[in-house]
Amino acid sequence: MCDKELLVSFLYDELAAAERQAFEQHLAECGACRDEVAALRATQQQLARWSPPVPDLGFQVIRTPVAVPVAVAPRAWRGAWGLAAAAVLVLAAGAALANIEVRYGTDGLVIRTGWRSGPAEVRSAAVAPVVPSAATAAPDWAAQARALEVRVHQLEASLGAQGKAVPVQSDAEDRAVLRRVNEIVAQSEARQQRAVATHLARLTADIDARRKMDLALIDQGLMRVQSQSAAELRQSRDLTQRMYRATAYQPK
Amino acid sequence: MPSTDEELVALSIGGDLDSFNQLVLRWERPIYALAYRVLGREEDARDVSQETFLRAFRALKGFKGQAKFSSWLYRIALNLCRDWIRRERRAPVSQVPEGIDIAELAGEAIPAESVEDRVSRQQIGRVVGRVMSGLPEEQRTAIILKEYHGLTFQEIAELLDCPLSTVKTRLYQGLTVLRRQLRDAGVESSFGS
Repeated sequence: MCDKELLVSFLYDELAAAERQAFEQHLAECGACRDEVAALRATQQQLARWSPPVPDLGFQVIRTPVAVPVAVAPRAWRGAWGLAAAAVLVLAAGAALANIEVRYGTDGLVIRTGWRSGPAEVRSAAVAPVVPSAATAAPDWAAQARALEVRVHQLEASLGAQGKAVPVQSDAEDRAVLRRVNEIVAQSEARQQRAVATHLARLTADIDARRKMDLALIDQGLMRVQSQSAAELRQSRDLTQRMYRATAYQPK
Repeated sequence: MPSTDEELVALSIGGDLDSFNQLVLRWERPIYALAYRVLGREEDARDVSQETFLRAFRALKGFKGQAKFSSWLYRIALNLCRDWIRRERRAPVSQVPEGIDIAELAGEAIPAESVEDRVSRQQIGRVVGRVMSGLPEEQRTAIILKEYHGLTFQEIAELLDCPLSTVKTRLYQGLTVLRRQLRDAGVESSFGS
């Protein structure tokens, strides 16, 4: 049996000169090997007819900036956060304004603004309990309404009586009161400005975060469009080739 | 003056992206052709080629030059092809040549070749592709590396991690099967033997 490894090496011209000469001598004597070499050379020629398509490759490695991962919230939530931020701002400003209290009572004209430091029982009364206690779990609404109504009548009567009885205050007292009013209003304005500045800073931060999120989304969208475009380009090239084949092929 | 692969690899390792892209430009077609002939499908061959360069880029610092850069690329591409075949759990398909290719007609046609010869060549190519896709993977890979990429027996043995004699045996067996199947498909008569 002839050496097939030698035959293959001869076929691909990978024999040393001496080996090659020896194998050629063998071929001269062996008809089977001669036929096989010829047949395999023909097969090699046929293999050469198989060529791959010529694609538009153009691969390139590009350096892209490292994207900071951004947690992308659903669209509805993002809108809600924006609204919530605006609502907080409005409420904060409103609360600051609403805390100015004007009252005319037995002690004359009283003007108070928010963050007052009144008696403890007044402060506690102004704060609604978050969780009702066992005693107040089932309030008697009718009784409370009646009590409130009585209280309103008492206050109205009191105001009417005091309005008539309050003596006219002196100029010095009026000036002192006005000074105090001015001080309180100035303090209130300063607090409001601080509150507004704080909320504006938060709002700016929110807007900035939102902008970064939108930019990341736009970037992702662009990448998707680019990949789709490349796929469409390939499809259109394939279609062109098919059309060309259809027109170029003439059956006999 | 064009740089050698080794020079471009050294520059690439130093962080020169342009040098690596020159290597890509130089080797993208051979790698694509290898993947295409092994897998038989254009899109898969394109994906494998792209992934080959991506992996090569990532692993470039680990390339010590113990083999030729092209051999290293071939090895990456062949591993990816094997993974693809295992993942798909199927034999490669014979998709191409899909009849006449515009680029080939325009740029690669033999000037004296008639339209009939050209069509005949394409048809033979299609049959060869189909028969090749039916070969066992080891034989097909050995034939592709030898016939279409001109690697030596030694280079193929190193790439496929097998003895030299195994490469020769696979080649001989593969060629013999091809010869018989092409004859059965009526292709051999066009050339004679």
